[in-house]
Amino acid sequence: MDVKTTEYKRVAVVQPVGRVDSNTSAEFETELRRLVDSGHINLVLDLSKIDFLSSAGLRVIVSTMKSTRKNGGNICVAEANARAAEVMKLAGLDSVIDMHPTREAAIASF
Amino acid sequence: MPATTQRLRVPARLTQLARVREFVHGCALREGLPERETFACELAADEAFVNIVVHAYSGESEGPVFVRCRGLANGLVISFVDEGMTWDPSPPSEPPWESAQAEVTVGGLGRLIIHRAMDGVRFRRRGSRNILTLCKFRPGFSPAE
Repeated sequence: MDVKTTEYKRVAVVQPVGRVDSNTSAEFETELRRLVDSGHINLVLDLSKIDFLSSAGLRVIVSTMKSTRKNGGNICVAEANARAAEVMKLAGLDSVIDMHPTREAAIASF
Repeated sequence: MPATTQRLRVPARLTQLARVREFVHGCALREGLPERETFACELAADEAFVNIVVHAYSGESEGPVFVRCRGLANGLVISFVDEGMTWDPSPPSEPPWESAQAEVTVGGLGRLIIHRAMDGVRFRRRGSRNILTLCKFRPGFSPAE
């Protein structure tokens, strides 16, 4: 799994590519923690290129959500593909984290 | 149509996770389940296997995990049998994001997903074995039938 990050002034966009499961979620978590530790409090998760997303990935998302909100920021999702959206919905996270149809809309939400 | 059964045995190691998912995915596809139901089975299988590794075997081990997929007229039945400690497959009482703890515990979200993704979840302890049975109905099937 790869994690692609684009850092802007007010927000950072993180795009995991591939499977985010118990074997690969650590990479995802490492990158999100790096961004939070470096001062980014607003994060967009682009889930358009997720092949698989399990609770391991959701745990990372929830933990990051708590961190950003604790620091006065927030996290949202952009372009969740069908599988990612389904998993978010099953977990009930779609009612807790804003889901946007495009990156632009997600970035503009901050 | 007679029921078809596929079996897989793997050690309780996370390196086997993809293999378990692919096995269940393949069984669901062969049974003609649509994409959404097939994905639900694959997702639940992932979560179940991780829970078995973490909670039944308290971490990775050579302990066996037997996975069986049985296609029926009304859907797919997936069972996981392990020889580890008993564990609780119940979903958490509150969503993990409502917890004051910063970190989310392993298993809680996974168990929640298993129960929501599948149409039936049953857990039994038989002797020294845990038996977790999941079922996914074909679209349009009504359990009352």
